[in-house]
Amino acid sequence: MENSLEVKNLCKKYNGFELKNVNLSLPKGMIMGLIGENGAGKTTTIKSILNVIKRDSGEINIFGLDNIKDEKKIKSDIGVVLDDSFLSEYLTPKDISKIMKNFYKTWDENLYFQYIEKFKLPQNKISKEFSSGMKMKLKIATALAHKPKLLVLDEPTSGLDPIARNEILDIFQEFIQDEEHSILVSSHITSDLEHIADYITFINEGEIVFTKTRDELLEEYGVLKCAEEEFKKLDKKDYIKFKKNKYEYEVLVENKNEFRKKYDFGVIDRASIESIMLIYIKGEK
Amino acid sequence: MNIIISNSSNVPIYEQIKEQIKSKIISNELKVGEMLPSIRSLAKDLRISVITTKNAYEQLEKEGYVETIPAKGTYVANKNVEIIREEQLQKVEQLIDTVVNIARVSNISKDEIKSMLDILYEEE
Amino acid sequence: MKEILGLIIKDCMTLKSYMKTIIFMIILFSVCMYINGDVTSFMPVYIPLFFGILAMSSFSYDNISKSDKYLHTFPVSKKDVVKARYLYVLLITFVGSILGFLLTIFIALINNKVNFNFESVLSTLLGAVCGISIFQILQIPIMYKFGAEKGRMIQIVLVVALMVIISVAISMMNGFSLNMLEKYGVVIGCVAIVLLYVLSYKISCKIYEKKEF
Repeated sequence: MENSLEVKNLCKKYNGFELKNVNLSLPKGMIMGLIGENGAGKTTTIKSILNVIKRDSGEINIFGLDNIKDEKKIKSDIGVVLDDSFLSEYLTPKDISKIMKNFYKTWDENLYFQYIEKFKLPQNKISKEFSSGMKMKLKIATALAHKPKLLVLDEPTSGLDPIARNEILDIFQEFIQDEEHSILVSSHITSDLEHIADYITFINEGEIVFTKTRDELLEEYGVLKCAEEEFKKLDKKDYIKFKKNKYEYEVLVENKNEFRKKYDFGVIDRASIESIMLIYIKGEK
Repeated sequence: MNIIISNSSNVPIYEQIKEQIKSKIISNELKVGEMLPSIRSLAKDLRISVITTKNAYEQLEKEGYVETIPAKGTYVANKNVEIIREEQLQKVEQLIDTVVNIARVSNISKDEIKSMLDILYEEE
Repeated sequence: MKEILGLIIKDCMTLKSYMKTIIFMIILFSVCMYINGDVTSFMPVYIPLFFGILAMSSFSYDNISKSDKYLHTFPVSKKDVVKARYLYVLLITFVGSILGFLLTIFIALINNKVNFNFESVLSTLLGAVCGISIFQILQIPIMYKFGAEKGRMIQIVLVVALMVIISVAISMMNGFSLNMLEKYGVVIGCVAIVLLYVLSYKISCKIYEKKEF
């Protein structure tokens, strides 16, 4: 399977924060969710991929090309949504099309206004008067109208109500109906990604903890809840990390079925991405 | 075609899809040669990951229920319905065998088993 | 080239939201001049100056919506972003100068009291444009270096300083006409300003290339 994005050993010191040897690969036709706490390095990784900040070392290939050497060519095929940055809020959706068509040869005005209509955005109102859900939809329409092959989104669902989030997830799945398309999306709202992401990459303190397919993560990982005496019977190599709570131990295990064959105490639940993240960050070994 | 997925079930989602499509093939709701929805559109409509649907289709293919023609789509394979039925029948026989064995050991009568079966069928 | 056009259009369209204020200011200036009757030293100075400073608001607009980061995700080089900004600032200043000149003539024609001298209007305008140019040559790299927030504070100081210098220069030029100035002096002055603009642009590029958003 060809990759649309490949990051190898990316290092970057930035604002008192450090990315350490970040590795990622996103196959064509797939959605990758980048998860982690605020400040874990999601945005810095995305900014390095887009060469908005210059990497210190490592390699970043997009569509098989170096992201600095072939920057212009690559960027014509990427659509970007940034959490906190867009064109001025004093512009209307109509103005935005007039501006954007100068930047992208492939800008499709009809497609843009189709999205604007689909998202029920008023064409002639300045976006300052939009709700946050509408603003996000405007950003997404703008990112899609030049028919990119790769969509990179930083926190597109934060601050949105469940209905708007749901609509945005729909847009993502619609986008990857084309097998050449792929999406890299960062979010700290893990439940959004739990459904639609094909790969989940977990980043913590500037380092990648793991990349797994959604199925591996949700069908195999498990959280064991047990008493202290039971926990003491566990072999260290049979679990990833544990968290000691007031009334129980929460233990993250890599394969709940294998684990069950060996131990028969406690209860094992399917691990949600949130609980995996939580035990990784707060837990101990 | 209905496919119903439970997110809280312990059965993996790809397994749920696989079993449901399989039962539709066996019951002839999905006919031989009929095209299944594409991996991507099924993922979208079920609001699940592409890899999950891909997984389900791959397993169905391995068991011979469907056939994938590259760049065209996935179709219900020309697996003999009689053979499938035969397979299922064998499975049932095996299970009944176990039931009978347990019943004999525990002194449960044939009539009791029959009435149990009647109750189970009525429940449905 | 098309990218640069896009960037200039972006700045012009953002200015649209400011239109009411701009029109109000122009009317205010016109009324002031009509009442005052002093054509040569008011209108051709304040209208271009107002536009020259107005053009700088593009930095603030970008700052509020953090547009720079977003622009860098486009297939647009940092150099083009800086180039477009300079061209935009020059364009707005040029529009302001023409408008100042035309309004001066218009008001002079409808107000007979006004003592009108075509050449002195032109020389005042030229002086004002020089002053604004020097302000922009200094201010644009400052905006890039220190950002729109701090840059604006520095701008206030710079504007006041330049106003003082310009009014002193104008009072010294009083009674002179363009003919009396050395022809070559004007040419050398223009060439010097163009060169300074180029230098200012190069410095801004250097600053901007190093910046991370």
